[in-house]
Amino acid sequence: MSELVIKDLHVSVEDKEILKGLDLTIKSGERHALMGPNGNGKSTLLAAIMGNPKYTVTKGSIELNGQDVLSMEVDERSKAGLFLGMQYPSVVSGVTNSDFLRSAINARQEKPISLFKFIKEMDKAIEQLQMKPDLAHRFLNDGFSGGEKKRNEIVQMMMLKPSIAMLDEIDSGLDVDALRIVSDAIIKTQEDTDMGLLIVSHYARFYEYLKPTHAHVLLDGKIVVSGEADLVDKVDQEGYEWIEKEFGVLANKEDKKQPISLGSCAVKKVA
Amino acid sequence: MERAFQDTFNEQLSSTNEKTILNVLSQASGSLFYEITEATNIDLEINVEPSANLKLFMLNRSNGDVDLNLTIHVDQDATCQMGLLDLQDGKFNWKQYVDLKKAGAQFSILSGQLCMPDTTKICSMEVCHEDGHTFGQMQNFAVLFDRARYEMVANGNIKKGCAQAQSYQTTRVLTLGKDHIAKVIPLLLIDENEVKASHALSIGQPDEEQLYYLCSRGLSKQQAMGLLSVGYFLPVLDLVEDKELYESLRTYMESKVGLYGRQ
Repeated sequence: MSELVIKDLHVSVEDKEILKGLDLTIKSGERHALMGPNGNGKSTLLAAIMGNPKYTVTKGSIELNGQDVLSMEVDERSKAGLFLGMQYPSVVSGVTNSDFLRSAINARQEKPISLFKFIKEMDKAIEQLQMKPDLAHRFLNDGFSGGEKKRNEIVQMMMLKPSIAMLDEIDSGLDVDALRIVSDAIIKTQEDTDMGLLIVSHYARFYEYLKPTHAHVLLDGKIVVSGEADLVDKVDQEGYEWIEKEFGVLANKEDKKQPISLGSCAVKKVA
Repeated sequence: MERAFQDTFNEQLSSTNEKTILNVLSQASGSLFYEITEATNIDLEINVEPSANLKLFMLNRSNGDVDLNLTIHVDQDATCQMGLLDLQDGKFNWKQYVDLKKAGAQFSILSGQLCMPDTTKICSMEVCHEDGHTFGQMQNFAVLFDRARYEMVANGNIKKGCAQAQSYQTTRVLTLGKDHIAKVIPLLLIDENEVKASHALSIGQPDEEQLYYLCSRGLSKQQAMGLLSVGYFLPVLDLVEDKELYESLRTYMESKVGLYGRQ
């Protein structure tokens, strides 16, 4: 039984406070849907839990099974059981998927995984996600389509078997069929491992497949309202305005960047 | 010392301080695995005769400093494909001259050098096109740690009258430490119009996002950097055809770059 407990979490990026006192608890077997308008802190929360160095935790605590997550390095958090399926996974040319994953698996166990067992597990994951069989030999995310990158994140999750998995808009870039395949793989992995799930998405269809046990809306750096799966439907139908009115919170609006002039290439001299 | 190779061959040789001449006879085809061991001053000349085919893989296993002076003559319609892997801690001073003597001669090299803290690797190589319709390609990769020094002067030289010659080169240097020196000079000396030639060069640190991504899957920073280094050296190792040798070299390489913890 695993438990991730977040208390009064404040997180800043470049001196701008994004999370302003967030509380959340996720246990094994649970599926938490996290919603909210863009720019209100959903990805920041996930990145801060995973230890992305760009994000600074200024106050609060994160504990996994009673262990202080904030004092751990990024790799230690992973080895402790946390996994983040990223919205924009990095491209690493020259490193094959299989080399990367085998190294990642070996990093978390004393005895290296046998090549036979590794290939068997990877083939199974690739087949389940209906990816091309050459995935293992391709460079990590190099030349992958948006959908392939997202599926590859799920392959990694299946292979690494975390106790708490966080998925950051893993459904973006997936077509309808791929969405179903990815959802099935997530559900199957949870059935096999009993991991807890924290899922960020903007789309009700993804949540329809995943059937969350809990749902939360994050506005202006705080979880304003929590509930069950019906909260997802309500947000899908009515948006976030009712929450702003009912709870007296204003959603943070994303800054729309205005186009800037870089100057002109040539200046015509007037005689 | 002089040796000749004919028909098909697959041989392993060890370095010697004596001047060595290896002749790959006309129409012969095969592989040479050349191990640099305790000899420190190597003077090696290789002649790849017309229509011969040589795959040469050189591995530095020496614990001391090495001076390698290598000359390769590639004759008409002959091919020489070369790999050099140097992951040792000693100084490596390497001079190489390749002469593409007649039309149809082809030479390519893939080198990988690991520059551990305070080590020096210096190389000057030239691929000289003496005739038209010749092909030369140099791909050099290096990974540098603290205070390491890497110098690579790679020169593709196409002489006058060598129409349709092709000369390509790439050097990539990954810097993983502080206070290192990387000096790369890609040269193209071309005295003919109808040719194809290019050079590419990159020197830089790994992307912070890449490191974070690798670490987020459980790799320590050191292991993540090791994995990125593997990506630099693996193309060189891919030249080794013997499966058993490939696996043992790969394990050796992975341990040297710190994938199993720095040694």
